[in-house]
Amino acid sequence: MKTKYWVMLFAAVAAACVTAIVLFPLPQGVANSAELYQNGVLLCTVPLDEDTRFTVPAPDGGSNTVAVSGGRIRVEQADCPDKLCVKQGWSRTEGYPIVCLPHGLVIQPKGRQVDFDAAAH
Amino acid sequence: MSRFLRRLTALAAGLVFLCSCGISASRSVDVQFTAMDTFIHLTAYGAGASTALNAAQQSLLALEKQLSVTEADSEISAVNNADGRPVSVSEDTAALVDFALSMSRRTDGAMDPTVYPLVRAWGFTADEYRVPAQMELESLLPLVGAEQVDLSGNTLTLSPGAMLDLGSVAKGWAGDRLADDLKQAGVSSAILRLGGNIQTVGTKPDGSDWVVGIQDPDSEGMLARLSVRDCAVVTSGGYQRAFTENGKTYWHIIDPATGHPARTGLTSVTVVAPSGALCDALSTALFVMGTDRAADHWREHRDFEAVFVCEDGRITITAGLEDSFTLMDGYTEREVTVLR
Repeated sequence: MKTKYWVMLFAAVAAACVTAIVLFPLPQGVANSAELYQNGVLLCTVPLDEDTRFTVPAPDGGSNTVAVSGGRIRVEQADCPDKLCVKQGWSRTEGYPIVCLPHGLVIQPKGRQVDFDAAAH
Repeated sequence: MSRFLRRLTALAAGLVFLCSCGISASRSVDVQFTAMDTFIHLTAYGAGASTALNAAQQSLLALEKQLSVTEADSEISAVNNADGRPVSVSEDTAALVDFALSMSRRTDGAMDPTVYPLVRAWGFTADEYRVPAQMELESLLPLVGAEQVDLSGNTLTLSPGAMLDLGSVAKGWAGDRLADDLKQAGVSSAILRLGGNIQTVGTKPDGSDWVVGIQDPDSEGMLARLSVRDCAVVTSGGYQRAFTENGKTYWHIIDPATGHPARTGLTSVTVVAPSGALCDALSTALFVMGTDRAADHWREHRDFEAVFVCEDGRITITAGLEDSFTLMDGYTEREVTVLR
């Protein structure tokens, strides 16, 4: 009888471990969505598996046009002075955010799985 | 209470304790903000990570105020506007200027903190790009060079007309500072992304190396990855800021010796070393030097490792990266030479 309790306990511990692994996965792989922040506030999360194009209005009256295509995301057009966000091109890597400083916009590719912890660029 | 129940309770309590330790050690805390003209993303793990990161954010914003060349009330602006008069600066600023000058001497001026008048002439400081006339560049060249700066204790004097810009070392230096602060606060696992400057503290919470991607200078993809721990990774590339005029591309990395964008056959240089400031300064300097001079510099000093990407796609890495450098899928056909 005692042995049976210990077996049940072992099974419970194993189940708890599996649950922990599912709840707190280790990062590996590719981004499958992107979070859009404006001045540090999360605006929305965009899936990267569906091609789309939309405009994000900026507080100063300007805007950024964001495009998703082939699992990647970029700022296609912007009326900021430097256009550095457009020049950054496509991203699909969690460690490689696209940033428009004048409009306070940050596009952060996200996924349960990512290739890199960071990107040197 | 039966003996079994007592055992069970003790075991459950132990498990809860172990799980909470495991979770608090592996849970990440992220702080994201903009500073130093770039997007900052700091991630730290473990107990105390949240407090340490908030302190790091405040520390970085304070450093930015002192070091910015564009903020009118920064110490650097005060020096640049002093018209040759001595200016008293903080210990931090003096230490960073001293470091930048030492790197200028070490690299024979390939990285120079006084290159700002040339960078401005090309319009890279205000994103109003233009190709300056040769005469204009020649008139500015005498204002460039470590000898234009006199640092005596905390007193900084700049030759009239010369300008100081710590942009090529400030982010790396700030990364070092933040990493030290986090370590002192008891954080043993963190990754700091100051734009494309990466600084790692320790290893990942599971003890494995951090994986840092190196951007392909010719596309948005990642060319290779580096496994690193407790060090910085900094890339300088022509692609980071450039403009095209009459079919010719001009980029923001200016050779202080000629006043023109550095064209040495390289499109990017990534430097790996414990010190972010060293990485930052050297990534610019090695880009200006070109592969051959950069290789000599590596052989002479051996206090850093590097990845060089050439315009023709060839890649050269230093011997210390042989085990940590991996080409990504789609790039495995690239020719990689190992410097020894």
